[in-house]
Amino acid sequence: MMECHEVRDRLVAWQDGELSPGETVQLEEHLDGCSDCRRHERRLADATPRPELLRPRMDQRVPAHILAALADRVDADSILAAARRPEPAPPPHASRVASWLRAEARVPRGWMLVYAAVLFGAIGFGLSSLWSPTAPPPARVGSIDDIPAGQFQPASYDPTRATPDSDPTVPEGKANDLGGPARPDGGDEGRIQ
Amino acid sequence: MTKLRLVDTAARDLDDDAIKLIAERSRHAAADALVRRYREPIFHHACWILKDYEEAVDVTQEVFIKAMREDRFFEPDFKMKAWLYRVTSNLCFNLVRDRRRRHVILETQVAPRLDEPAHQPDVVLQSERQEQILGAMDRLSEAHREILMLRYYSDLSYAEISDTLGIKLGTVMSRLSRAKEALTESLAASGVVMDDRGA
Repeated sequence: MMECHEVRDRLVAWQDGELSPGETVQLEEHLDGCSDCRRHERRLADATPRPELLRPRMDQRVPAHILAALADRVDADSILAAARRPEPAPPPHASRVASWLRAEARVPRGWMLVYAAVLFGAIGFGLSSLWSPTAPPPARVGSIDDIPAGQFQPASYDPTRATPDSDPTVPEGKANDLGGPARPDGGDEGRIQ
Repeated sequence: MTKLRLVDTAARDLDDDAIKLIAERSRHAAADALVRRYREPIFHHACWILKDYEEAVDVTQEVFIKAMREDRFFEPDFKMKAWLYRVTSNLCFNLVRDRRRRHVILETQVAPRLDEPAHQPDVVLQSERQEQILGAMDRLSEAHREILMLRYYSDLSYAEISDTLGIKLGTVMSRLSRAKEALTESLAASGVVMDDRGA
């Protein structure tokens, strides 16, 4: 015995006479005892489109020159002649990619260059951050812990140049990164010019 | 002229099996019968998908050329009709996808309406009814519209639809049921009152 959902899947086939004899008997038995499915069947039968009403708007009046072109280009002689010619080989992969790019990328070429530059820049940046050349470890010249307490005094220290209004962020006597004397104003004019 | 018309009509009446029999003697005569039988239905099928006459002519030509390149085409167990519709659908949907991909909005050619005045009341009613049905069809999904057109306009059997769409027979049945339900709802939504003659 068919269930309602099975019947509803086959109702149109039954209306179109496309069901097997066995299925037809089962479906009709179900319809006899199911008023819901009978109602559903009636609705579907009313919605059966007649072919003449389905004729697409374009087909209702095809221009004469189109019909002439159809008759001229699609006849036995021309299609057999065309079929005898070797089938055009599919384009090689590279040119398919190129044509895909041409078809896909409806973006002005200038913008494409900008996108490409940004992309390459981002890739380059990413790679450079991954690859950092390992510098040799600095030679150990001794630790501050090795100096006895109270004896630390950098060689470049000149107590006469220290002023009371020195930049508090620069510890007095701290050498700048070039090894020269620290400037009170924290400037770096003393660097290599 | 009359003779030519008679020959043309006779060729259109030849069914697929008769065309295959002709092919045993002459491939050219079989190609001629095939073209006469299927040229216009295939063109209309392409028109319906593409909504462009020129492209539909191109596709129709390509379909028949492909058919003639297919060695098995006239073999006894070859499903010619389903093959022709399947290849047409594939070529057309490829073109439609290509258009969408290129973002080229090819506005459909303005649907040529019946321009002669319809004086007969039946013609007026028929035309209105047709517009309602076509409007309701337009609101369906592509899959539902396609299967309804293949069945009720192109008159393909369920087995042929199964071969054309590459789906099982059971799926053809259930999809057609769903499509008809959707059409019923679409017609009801647009206020179309159905009569006992069907839509």
